[in-house]
Amino acid sequence: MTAGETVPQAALDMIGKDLVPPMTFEVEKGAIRRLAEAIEDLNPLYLDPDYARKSKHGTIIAPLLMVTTLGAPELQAALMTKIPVGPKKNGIVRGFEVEFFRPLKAGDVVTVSCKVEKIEGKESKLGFMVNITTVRTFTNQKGELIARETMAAARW
Amino acid sequence: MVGKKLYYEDVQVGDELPRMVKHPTTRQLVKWAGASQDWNELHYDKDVAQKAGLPNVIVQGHLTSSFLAQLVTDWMGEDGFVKKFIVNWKRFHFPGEDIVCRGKVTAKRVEGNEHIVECDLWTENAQGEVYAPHKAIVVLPSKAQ
Repeated sequence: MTAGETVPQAALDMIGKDLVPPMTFEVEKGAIRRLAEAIEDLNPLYLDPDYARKSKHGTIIAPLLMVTTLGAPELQAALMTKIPVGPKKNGIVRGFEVEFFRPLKAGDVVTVSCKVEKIEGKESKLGFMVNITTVRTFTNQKGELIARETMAAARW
Repeated sequence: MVGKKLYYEDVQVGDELPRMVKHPTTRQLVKWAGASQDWNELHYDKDVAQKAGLPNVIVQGHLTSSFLAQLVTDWMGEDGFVKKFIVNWKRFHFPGEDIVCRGKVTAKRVEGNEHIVECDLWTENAQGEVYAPHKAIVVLPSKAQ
């Protein structure tokens, strides 16, 4: 910890820019099944094509948070490696908020974009901490917004 | 909850969501790792976890949040829609321990055509200590519509 430490300008320059280049994921029903089974959430909307076809969705949909798993490992890696905050080995995701606009459906081709919204420095018990806020948007193949996630992370 | 329908009018502030208990195993953590492609070793390699100062591997935060998402989507039924979901993690859950998933209705209101219900959601251990406080904002169908 350095007294009077500030966030490097190179890190501040990333505000408003892509943290991870846009990525595209095709969501197939087998992947939805594996995620639902991992949660042990056996809702037929996720697992039973006949049941889902007769529902208002017309097809298999994904468990609520599956959309936010798309590109999440890449985001977490970028939080540790792409923001030049100096030799800070520790990082943590504190939490996130997601606004949902429509369900994620089997067969959707989802584009994930991720921008840095805010970077701020703060003294803490653990030393000088850099708080990072990212915003990710998830759009389907029709250009419709599925969800918007705002994530709070910290490096120290 | 297959075919369940919950109306806005049937929900009162203070109502508790039916509690759900999960008992994740290391095997379930590995299934989640594969399904989500999150291969952070803290969730399946005890040596890595212990080098990081943890007594054991830890349950993925995202899996814990998915348990709470299941709690609210089961409760609201197929005609409900989660408009917003807010995630916070305060403490680590460990495999082999019960995760008690709970929720409570904290507010309800009508905004335009939307009948909105707010819920606090949280996980706790068998002793009732809160680990992961979450919130959900849900749109429910109305009998008036």
